[in-house]
Amino acid sequence: MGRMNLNKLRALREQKRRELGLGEGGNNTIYVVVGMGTSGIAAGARETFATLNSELEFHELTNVILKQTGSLGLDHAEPPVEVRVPGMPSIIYGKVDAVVASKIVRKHILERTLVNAHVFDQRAVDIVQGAQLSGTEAR
Amino acid sequence: MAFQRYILVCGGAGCHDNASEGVFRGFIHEIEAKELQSTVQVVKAGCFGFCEKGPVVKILPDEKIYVGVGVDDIRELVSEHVVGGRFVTRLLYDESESKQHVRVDDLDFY
Ligand code: FES
Repeated sequence: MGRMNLNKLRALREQKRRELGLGEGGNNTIYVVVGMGTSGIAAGARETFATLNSELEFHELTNVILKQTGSLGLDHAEPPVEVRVPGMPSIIYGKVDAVVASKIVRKHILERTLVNAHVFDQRAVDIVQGAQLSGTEAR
Repeated sequence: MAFQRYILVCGGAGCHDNASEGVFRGFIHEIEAKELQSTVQVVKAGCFGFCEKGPVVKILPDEKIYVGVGVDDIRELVSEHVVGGRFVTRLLYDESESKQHVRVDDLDFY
């Protein structure tokens, strides 16, 4: 790489930051987490993940981090996807197939509206309190 | 544009049997009647795990769960909680009830 002066370097840093969604304005990173435990994968979580990935690319959403995790405990609603958009309550969607996955990107992330009929915000009765506490911390 | 509140109406089988469909439509109707549709979104959700107390309604971001919600309660929930920001205690799920259950960490076994 050729020589760079300080200004060029700064400009490059800004550009890269923006690409990472870390630019000025701070914490605007969106997290999309796919529950990929064995039951999730059996129910098609890989396809869900691939669809999310291509939709995010298609819409050039560079401030979204797509991750996979273990089971979210929603075995009756596999595959699950958790979406955390700053300024919105974090939401867990269940039964997310390819169609719902692209709806999540278009509606939830781009339009900031929840996807109807797939919110599975379930918390077991005996952990309601604890979950609420950790939920607010995470936000 | 972003919604300020979300009304999640349980659409699970248990609540459906307890006529949650009517509650869902009722909320949409009431929100439109009050012209709140740009700030409040009504969505159908999956089972919350309180099936025997259905229909269950959860309001975000306040994280409040209302149980046994009937069509007659919709107007009050919208005007009190959604517009006024006051919780309707009469219908609130009593969280202290959950504390009566033994938690796993309380068991000597573990
Ligand atoms: S069906 Fe509504 S809480 Fe289970």
